[in-house]
Parts: sequence; C-alpha cells; structure tokens
Amino acid sequence: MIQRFIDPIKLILTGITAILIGIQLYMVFFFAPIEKYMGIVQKIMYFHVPTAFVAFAAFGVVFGAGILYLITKNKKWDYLAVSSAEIGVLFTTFVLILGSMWARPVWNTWWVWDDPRLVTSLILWFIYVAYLLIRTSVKGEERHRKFAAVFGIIGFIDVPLVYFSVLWWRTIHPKVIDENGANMPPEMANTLFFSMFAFMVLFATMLLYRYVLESQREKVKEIRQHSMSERTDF
Amino acid sequence: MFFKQSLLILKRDLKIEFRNKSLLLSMIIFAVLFQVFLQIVFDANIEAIKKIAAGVLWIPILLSALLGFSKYGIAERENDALTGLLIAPVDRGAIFLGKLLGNLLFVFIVVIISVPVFFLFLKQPFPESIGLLLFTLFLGSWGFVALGVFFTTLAQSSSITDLLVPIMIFPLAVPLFLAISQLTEMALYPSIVMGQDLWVLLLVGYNILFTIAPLFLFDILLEV
Repeated sequence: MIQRFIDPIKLILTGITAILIGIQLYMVFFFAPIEKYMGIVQKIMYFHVPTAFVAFAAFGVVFGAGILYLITKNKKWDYLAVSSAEIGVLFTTFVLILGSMWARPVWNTWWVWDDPRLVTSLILWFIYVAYLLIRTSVKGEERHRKFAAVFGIIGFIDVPLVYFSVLWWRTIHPKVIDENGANMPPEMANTLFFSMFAFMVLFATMLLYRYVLESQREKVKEIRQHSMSERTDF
Repeated sequence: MFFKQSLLILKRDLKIEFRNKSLLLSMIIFAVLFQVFLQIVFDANIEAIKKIAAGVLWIPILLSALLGFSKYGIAERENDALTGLLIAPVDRGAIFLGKLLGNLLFVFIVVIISVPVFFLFLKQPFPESIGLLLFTLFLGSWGFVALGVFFTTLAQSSSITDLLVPIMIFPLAVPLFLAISQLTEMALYPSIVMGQDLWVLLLVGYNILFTIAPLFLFDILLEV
C-alpha cells in the first residue's frame, strides 16, 4: 500500500528540504553580494520573491485540485486543496509582511496602492481566508467540499481580473514607483533562483505533511462515526 | 421554458415579499439613512466631495443590497421550503435567474430613490453624462447582485451566513468596485475620461461571467 511508502518519503523529503534551506541561507548571506544602494536590506528579496512564488503555486494547486474534485468526487483532491490553501494563506501572510519590511527603508513607506502586485496579494489573502472560513463554517460533509472547490476556482479566476483592474486604476494616476530593475549580477540571480527552488521543495514537504494529516483526520472521523452508528444499532 | 420557469420563481418570491413590504421598505430607508449619515460624517466642501462622490453614491446602495440578500427569500428557511423548491421539476439555473431578477428589482427600486437623494444633498449640478451614470448604475447593481445571490444561496448552510457573505464577495468584487467607481466619477465629472472603454469592457465582461457561471454551477452545488 501507499501508506507504507509515505513515512520514508516524508523523512527523505524533510532531509532534502533541510539541506536545501541550509545551502540557501549560506548563499543568501555569504555568496550573494551586498546590493550597492539598498544594502543588507535587499537580502529580503531572497525570501520575499520565493515566498510569493510558493503562495501563488499553492493557490494554483487549490484551483487544480478543486476542478479535479468536482469532476471525480474523490475526497483526496479535496484534502489536497485544503492543505494547499492553508499553506498558501500562510505564505501570502509572509509575503505581505516581508514586502512591507522591504518597502519601508527602500520606498520609504510600508504600503503603496500604486503597485498592482501588492494590492493583488492583499486581495488574494482575503479571498483565501474566506475560503478557509467556508471550510470551517459550512455544515454538511459533501456540501462544504463542493462549495469550497467552487469558491477556490472562482477565486483563482478572479486574480487576473483584480490584477489588471488595479493596474488600469493606477495608470490613470501618475506612477510613484518604478519597476525594480531585473538586471542583477549572476551571483544574485543564482541565489534567487536557488532560493525559489529550495522554497518549492519546502512547499512540497509541507504539503505532504498537511495532506497526510488531513486524510488521517478524516479517517479518524469516519471510524468514529462508524463505531457510533454501530452502538446505536443496539 | 427556462425563462418561463425563472419568471415563475420571480412571481412567487415577489408575491411573498410584497405581502409584507417590510424588506423593501427597510432597504430603502437604510440606503437613504446611510446616505445622510455619509454626507454628515464627511461634511466635505465642493472640491473635496469630488474625490469621494462615487463612494458616497455607491456605498449605501451596496450595503442595502447586501442586507437584502440574506433576507430575501428568508421564507425559504421555514418548513424546509428550500428542499421543496429543489425537488420541484425546475431547472436549478432558472431558480438562480428568478432569485437574481427579484433581488435586482429590489435594488433598482433602492437606486431609483437613493440616487436622487444623493444629488439633492450634494448641492451639485446635474451629472454631465447621465447616460453613462445610468449605464453604470444598471450594470454595477447587476454584477453585485449576481455575485451576492449566488454566494448567499450557497452560504445558507453556514453557521455565520450573514458575516461570511460579505467576506466572500467583497474581495471577489474588487474589479467590479473599481470599474463602477471609476465610471461613476467619469459620469459625474467628465474632465477625467481616460480609459472609459476599458472600464466599460471590464464591467460588461464581469457581469457576463458572474451571471452565466452560476447558471451552470447551481446545478452542481445545490443537491438535495
């Protein structure tokens, strides 16, 4: 059975993640050069950008798993969706906090409404908090799964709409902040790409742990219900 | 057949609602009261009001519509009427369309009363582009109501329905809000008419998406 393989896979994946994150930290603090104008603060980038990628990937998984759940009605997809949504909300929270911390010294403000990426991240956070609230507050076993799946799909489709509407909204007004230059020395670029890779593996590990937890929780619930119904038979 | 069914749903709901007119009346009173409240708290002069006019115009309408969603068809909860409705040989999409039209009618009545009140208090000249304003009011209410009716019906089984509905629909409606506030601003003060076509396109597209999608999704989501 798959169950037999899950524990070793979990262990191996955890080990790999630990090593990768260790290398990533080394690269960030010792390999990548210190940026000329922003200084040490710029190192936030190596955490901010990968975190944002993980968050977006996580919501992509919610979207995909939602569609697969509605088609197949297999609960496993729903376990995957809820696990991914929780990780996504967590990472979006980090993105917003790290972004603010970076913006304060560099842009001289905690928050700007002029960058569609910022506003979209914030709206994304709200959408998936609503998703988690649906999961905890809606009664009915199958109903809340379907409802959450549909909301996850609609929420993800809504993201580009939010992005472009904020973009159009703000281009009418003068732009305060320029795009950050994409050209950077190869050491920085390599560190950034490695950080993204390490964080993706971290995401996979967390997702696996959370997924196993969710399916075990459901299994316990089923067993309990089963024994309850047996007891009432008497 | 499909439209006949939705008209039947609409007729049935309106009959129930007009037997005690309390919902429509309270929605209107709330919108006007909130309008007055906003004008008092902002207490803005003519220059400053330009910045907030679109918000002052729309917020009472949107909140009034929001309060209406969960109360419209509240009779459905009594005696398991919703189950009866779902068992009836009616297309689920038609149920959605019927409920949408009913809610929309109520919101339009609110708009008809609330918007003139806005101009009355604002001490502001007649809107320059009345056509654009009416267009925006029509499609803006439509989009918001479509979104609201869809998610309110789904959230009926939640333990925190009244709170969950705004938490769900406000983030999803950000593109809609941006479009209507920009278009309203353009209609009121036509000196800023940049990108009008873009916003009209966004508004129309958004409305189509959130009217058509629920027609199909209702069937999957509402099983007895």
